[in-house]
Amino acid sequence: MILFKLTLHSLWNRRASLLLTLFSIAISVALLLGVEYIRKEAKSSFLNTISGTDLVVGARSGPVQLLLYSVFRIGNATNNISWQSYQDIAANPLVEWTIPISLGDSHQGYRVLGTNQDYFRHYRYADKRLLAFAEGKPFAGVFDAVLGAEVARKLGYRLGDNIVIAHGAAATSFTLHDDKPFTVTGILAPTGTPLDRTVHVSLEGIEAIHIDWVNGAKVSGYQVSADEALQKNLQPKVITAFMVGLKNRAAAFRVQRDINDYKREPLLATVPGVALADLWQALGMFETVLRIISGLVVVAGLLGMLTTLLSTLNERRREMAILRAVGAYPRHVFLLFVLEAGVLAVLGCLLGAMLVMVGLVAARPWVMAEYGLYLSTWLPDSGDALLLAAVAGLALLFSLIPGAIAYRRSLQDGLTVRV
Amino acid sequence: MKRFMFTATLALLFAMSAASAHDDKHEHKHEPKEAGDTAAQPAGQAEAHEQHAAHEHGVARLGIAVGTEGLEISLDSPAANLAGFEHVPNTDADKQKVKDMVEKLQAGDELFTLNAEAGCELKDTEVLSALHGDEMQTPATAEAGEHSDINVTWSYACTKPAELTEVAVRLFSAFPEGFQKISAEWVTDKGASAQELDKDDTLKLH
Repeated sequence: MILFKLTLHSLWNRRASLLLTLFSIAISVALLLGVEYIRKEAKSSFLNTISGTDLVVGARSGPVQLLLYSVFRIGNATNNISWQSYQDIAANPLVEWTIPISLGDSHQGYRVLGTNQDYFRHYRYADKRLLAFAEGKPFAGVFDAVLGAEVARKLGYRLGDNIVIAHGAAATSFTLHDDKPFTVTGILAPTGTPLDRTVHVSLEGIEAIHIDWVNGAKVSGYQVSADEALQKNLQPKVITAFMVGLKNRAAAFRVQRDINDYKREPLLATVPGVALADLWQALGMFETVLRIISGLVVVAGLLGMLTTLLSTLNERRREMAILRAVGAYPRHVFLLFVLEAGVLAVLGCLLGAMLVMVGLVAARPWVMAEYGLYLSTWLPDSGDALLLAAVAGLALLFSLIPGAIAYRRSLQDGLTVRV
Repeated sequence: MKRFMFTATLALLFAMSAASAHDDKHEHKHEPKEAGDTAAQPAGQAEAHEQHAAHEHGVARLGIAVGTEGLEISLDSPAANLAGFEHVPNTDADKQKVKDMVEKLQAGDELFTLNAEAGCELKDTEVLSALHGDEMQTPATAEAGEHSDINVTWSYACTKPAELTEVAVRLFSAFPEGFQKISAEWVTDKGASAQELDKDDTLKLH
């Protein structure tokens, strides 16, 4: 006990340099815990984006790619699929509901998604939650639009505002569908998913804005006004993908096989959860790299501590000698170093954990405002506790070096007169 | 932070697609032979596209889907893994082999063990293949020299499907000559995942 008191006093005596060491350990620990936090949050945010959808069907490519462009709005479709194929599969007696999706246009960098009212009836996220409206209602007319929470907040739109959709998915598109503006009829409540960054319109709306376009460009002299477009047949001929809910999930792989063997058109059906698991296994490599980096930063922090302890060895020759002279055993001197390192590591871990906690609380309003993502409060779980224990263990291991040197020297050093 | 996550994901997809491109090469090692499919397409299906599904001997796909009343286990495998050949049997010995294979597949309880808490019972086994004169594949695609697949679906009824947590797969020991790798995928009420098997093993569903 007296040794512990001595340790604290000794540390306090050299507080200036040790405080810096403490901070470097704390920051490295905060990084380690922060990476773990991001890893878990990223995983849950991916898993929360889609729920209750049994199959996603699109043109034949890869399951992960299909899921990314249809659900996460990352990347683009390689091909579209025909309306006829969609109708054929929707008519399968095992299918309960479907949601058609048509992508390709954008509004100020936000993706525009063409769909129908089934989207608001059947799309579920997080723990099977349906979409909720913050304001307004689903689109009813051809030129109605429903905005995701972030789109409305960032661009300051309210119900009744008119928006113009740009051709293509780039943020700065010069080809605008400005002759056929859409009216905002609804704004969705925040979901914390890519839906917040999506503008939803009807499939007929997508068809209508492209009706006087040929081969992806406006044709001069040929223009169909919004009113005229409404008179035309707005039945889409192609869609990008569709989601399928089954009457019985047990049939998922059977229906998937049927769709993949569909003769009229090469289609790909994927079970979202399985594709996500595939994606996650592939990302595992990335996670490992992040973990290795943050692990190395912790090692660097602890090496800094080791350096400080070693460099003070010479300064403290007299201190050690006096301790020995007043009756301390060599093992006490050894323990003094181990305890010092232990105290530093434990304080560093606590400070690091506090940094993560305080940092998340401080960043919460900003992240909420900027990304519509709620940062859950960080509480260390068993995995984090294990990491912290590993840090403390490593610190103790490192402290054996200065401890052993001091132990060996403690008797003769400092008392022996040197010339 | 979210945008960071997605960007990071994207960056990784490159690495991944590079890896899968490598896989593709591997999977298509039978493709030259499959080119024969064009001629084999029945003339009546003018609209149909050519199907060249990946077909790699020794490899199969196993899907386990748990619903509210039971589950279905489906197996998609090249016929060679199960029967040892892929042509329509014309000798008595081959016909016997196919018969044995179908019987072995129909004994689902020998191939899979589900944890008892779920109270599952095998109700039906459906074996679809060109080898025993099934309607699913046109006889033309099963001509000599063609590849053919076998699709099996085992349907179980369960008293408590939510309690189903483990499925022991014994396909490797049942068909010792056949499988080298089985990609198992499963989906339950609580989520979905996938795992590669290279020997008999127990899948932990959640």
